[in-house]
Amino acid sequence: MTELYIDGSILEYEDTEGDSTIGECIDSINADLFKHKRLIFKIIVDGEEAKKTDSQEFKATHIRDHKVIDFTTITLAEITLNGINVCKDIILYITKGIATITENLRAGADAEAFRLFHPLFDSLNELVATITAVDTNIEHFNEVLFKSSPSKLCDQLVKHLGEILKSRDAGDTILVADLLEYEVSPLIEELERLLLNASSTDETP
Amino acid sequence: MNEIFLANIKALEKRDSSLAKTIKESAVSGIDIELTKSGQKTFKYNGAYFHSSYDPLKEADRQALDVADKGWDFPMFFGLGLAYLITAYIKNTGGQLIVYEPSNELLRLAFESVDLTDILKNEEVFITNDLWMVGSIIKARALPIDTVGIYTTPPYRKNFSDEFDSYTHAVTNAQGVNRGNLQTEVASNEIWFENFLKNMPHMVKLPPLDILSDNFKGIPLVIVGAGPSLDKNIHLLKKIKGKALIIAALTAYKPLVEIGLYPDFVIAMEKIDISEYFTDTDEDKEIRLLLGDLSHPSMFTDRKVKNTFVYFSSFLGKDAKLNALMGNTFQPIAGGSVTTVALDIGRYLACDPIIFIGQDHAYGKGGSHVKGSVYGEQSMQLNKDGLVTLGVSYPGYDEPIVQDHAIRWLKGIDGERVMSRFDWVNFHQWIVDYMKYHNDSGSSIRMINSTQGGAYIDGMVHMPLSETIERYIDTIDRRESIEDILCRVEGSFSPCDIGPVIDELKEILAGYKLVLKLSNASNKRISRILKRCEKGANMTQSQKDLTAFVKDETRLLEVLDSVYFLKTLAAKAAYDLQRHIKEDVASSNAQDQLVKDMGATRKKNQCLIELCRHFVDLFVELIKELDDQQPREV
Repeated sequence: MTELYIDGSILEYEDTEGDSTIGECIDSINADLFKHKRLIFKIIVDGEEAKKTDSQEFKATHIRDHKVIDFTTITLAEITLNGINVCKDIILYITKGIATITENLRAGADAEAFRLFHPLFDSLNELVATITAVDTNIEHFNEVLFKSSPSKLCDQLVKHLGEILKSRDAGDTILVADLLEYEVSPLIEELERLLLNASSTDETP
Repeated sequence: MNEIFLANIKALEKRDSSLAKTIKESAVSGIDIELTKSGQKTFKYNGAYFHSSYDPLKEADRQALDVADKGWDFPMFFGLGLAYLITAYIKNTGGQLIVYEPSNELLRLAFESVDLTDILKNEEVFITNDLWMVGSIIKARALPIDTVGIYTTPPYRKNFSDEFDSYTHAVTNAQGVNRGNLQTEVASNEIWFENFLKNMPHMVKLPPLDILSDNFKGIPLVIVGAGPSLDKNIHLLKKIKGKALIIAALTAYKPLVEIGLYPDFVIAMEKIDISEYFTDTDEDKEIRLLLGDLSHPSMFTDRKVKNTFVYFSSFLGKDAKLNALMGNTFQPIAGGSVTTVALDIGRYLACDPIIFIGQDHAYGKGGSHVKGSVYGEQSMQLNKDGLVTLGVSYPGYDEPIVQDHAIRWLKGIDGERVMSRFDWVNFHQWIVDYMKYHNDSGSSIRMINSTQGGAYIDGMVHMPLSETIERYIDTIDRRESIEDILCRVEGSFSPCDIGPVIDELKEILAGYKLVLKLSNASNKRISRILKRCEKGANMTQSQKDLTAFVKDETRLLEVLDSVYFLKTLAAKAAYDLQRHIKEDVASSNAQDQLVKDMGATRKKNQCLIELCRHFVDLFVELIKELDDQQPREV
C-alpha cells in the first residue's frame, strides 16, 4: 500500500477500492488544513517533487500507482509573505528592464531592446502568476490582504503586453516605448504599492 | 489651404522661395494627424508613429538633451517631423543648426499642421530638402575646427535609411572639404606665395590665359584627367586632335604621349618640382604649358616646351591692380585640382561642349591612376578597418610607396557606389557645386562626363566618348585648326610694361613692412603687460597699457586686412587663435585669463613677424630683378 506522509508524519488513510486519486487526497487534506490556515505547499512523489500539481493529469493519478507520496504544508501567512517577496524581486528586475528597453528603443537601438524583451515578458508573466496565486490563496481562506484587487491590474497589464507585442511586430518602436513607459510602468508601480502595503500592515494573515 | 500653412509658407518664402514652391506643389496622402494623450499632434507613417502618441514634448525634451550632451558645435538634424525636437533644441540650447527633411510629403504635413513661423524666421536655423544646400551651408558656416554631428530619430532612420546614408556622406564630405581646405591652406600658403613672387620675372614676359578669350567660343574642349578608366577611351582622342581643344592634366601627359597624342595644353600648378612628369625629350616641345602662377619656379625655367601661358589663381585673393598690370583680369576658380581649374577656364573661353574624360574620382580595379602615368606599377588592397592600402612605384624610389587611405564612398556612373578617398571627394564635391551654379545660371554650355568609370557627377550629362565625338565633334567643319588659332593668338601678344608692376610691388612691400612694425610694437607692449602681471600688478594698474594694446591690435588687424595676401599667409596663426578661443577653458580668475590670452596673441604676432621678415626679403629681391629687366635708355 502506498505510504502517505504529511510534514514528515505518516498519514493514516483508507483506499479500500484502490481507486482513490491524488486529487481526492489533496482535497481531503486541504479541507482538514483549512481551519489551521495551512495549505499544501509541496508534493514529493516517489522521491521527486511533482510539478504542475494543479493539473488535471496529476490529480487524476491513482495513489496506488506510487510507493510514497510526501505532502509538505505551509501556513497561509508564510506562503503569502514568500509570494510578496518574490513579487518584489521580480518588480525590481522588471523596472530596470523597462528603463533599459525604453532607453534603447528611443535611441534607435532596437536589436538591443528586443533582446531584453523575452526575459522581461517572462518576468511579467511570472509576476502576474505569483500575484494571482497569492490572491487566490487569500480568497480561498476568506481573508483580505490587498487594499484593492490586484487581478484588475493584472488584467490591464496582460492587455498592454498584447498591445506591445503587436506594436513590436508592426515595427512601431515609439509606441512600444510609450506603452512600456506610460502604461506598464504605472501598473507595476501600483502593484508594488499594493504589495508594500500588504507586507507592512497587520493584514497579512 | 489652412491658415497655419499659409503663415508658414509666407515665412519660408522670405528665405527660400524654391523650397516654398516645392512644398506648395507637394501633397499629403494617407497620413492623418492624431491627437496625443497630452493634447499635441502626432502621425503614423508606414504604420508607425513618428512622435510619441502620449507626450511628444517630453520625448523631444529628452532628445534635445541627448543632442546637447554630445557638445557638437554644429548639429545636423535628419528629419523635421512636426518640429518638436527642433523647437526643444532651440529653446534649451540655441545656436545654429541645419534640418534636412528627406520627404516632401512630410514637409507638407508639417507645414499644414504646426506653426513653424518662429523657426522659419530664425536665421540660425536652416530647413532644407536639398543635399547640395546642406553641403553649402556647412562649407559656408562651419569652421574647420567645428565638430559636426548628425542626429536623427529612430522612425526617420528606419523609414529613410538610404536617404540617411546619402545625407551622412554629404555632411561628412562637406566638413571634410572644409578641413581639407584649411589643411591645404596651412600647409601650402607660404610656398605658393613664394613661388608666385619667384615666378613673376617670367610671368611678366609670358602670355596670360586672358589673351585666349574670344577665340574658342563654341569650340569643344576635352579635359583629360589621369583616372584609372582613361585607358578605356584615350585612343579616341586621336580622332579629334585639331578639332577640339585638348587640355590635359599633367598626370595624364605621359599616357597621352604613349599613344602619340600631344594635347594642346598641359595644365599644371604643382608647388613642388615635378620634372618626372615630363619626358625631357623633344616630345615636350610639342606641347604648350598652361601654368598656374603659383607653380614651382622650375616649371617656368626648366621646361623646354613650345610655349607657356599663365593663368592667375583666385587663391591669392586678387590684388586686381597687380594682375591687371600683367594683362590678367580673369582668375579661374580653383577646386583643388587642375582639372577643376580647366573646367572654369573652359567656361570662361565659352568652349562648348566641355567634356571630361579620365575624371574617375575613384579607385579603379588596379589602383588610383591610369597605367603609363608617373605612378607606375600600382597595387591595391582593401582592409577590414575601412582603409585601402595603395602601393605605387614612383621615379626616384627603389621600393613602392605604400600608403593607407580611409575609404569614402561616392555614387558611381552605373548607380552603384564606388570607392574613393578624401581628396577626390573634395574635387568631386567642388564639381557638383560648380555644376549647380552653372546649370542655375542658365548657361547654354553643355557639360559632358565621358569618363568611362568612376563617380557620377550630378549636373553633368553622362555619355560615352564615342557618342560625344559623334554628336559634337565629328560634325565640326572649321577651317582653322586649334593649332592655327593658338599660333595666331601668340603672334599678336606683347609682354606687359614692367614699370607700373614694380610701383605696385613697392606699395605692397610697404604694407608688409608696416605689419612687421605694428606686430613688433604690439608684442613689446604684451611683454610689458605680462611683466607687470608677474610683478603682481592687477588689471586696474595695467589698464592704460591694456587700452593701448587693444588699440594696437585693432590697427594691426585693419592693416593686415589690406595687405596683399598676408591674411591668407597667416591662416595658421588665425586657426591657432580660433582654437585657443574655442578650446581654452575659461579661468575663473580674470588675471589668469588675461595672461593666457596675451600669450596666444603674442604667438599670433610672432608668426606675423616671421612671415613679414621672410616676404619683405623676397619682395626686395623681386623688385630688383624686375628693375634689372627694364629696358634702359642709352
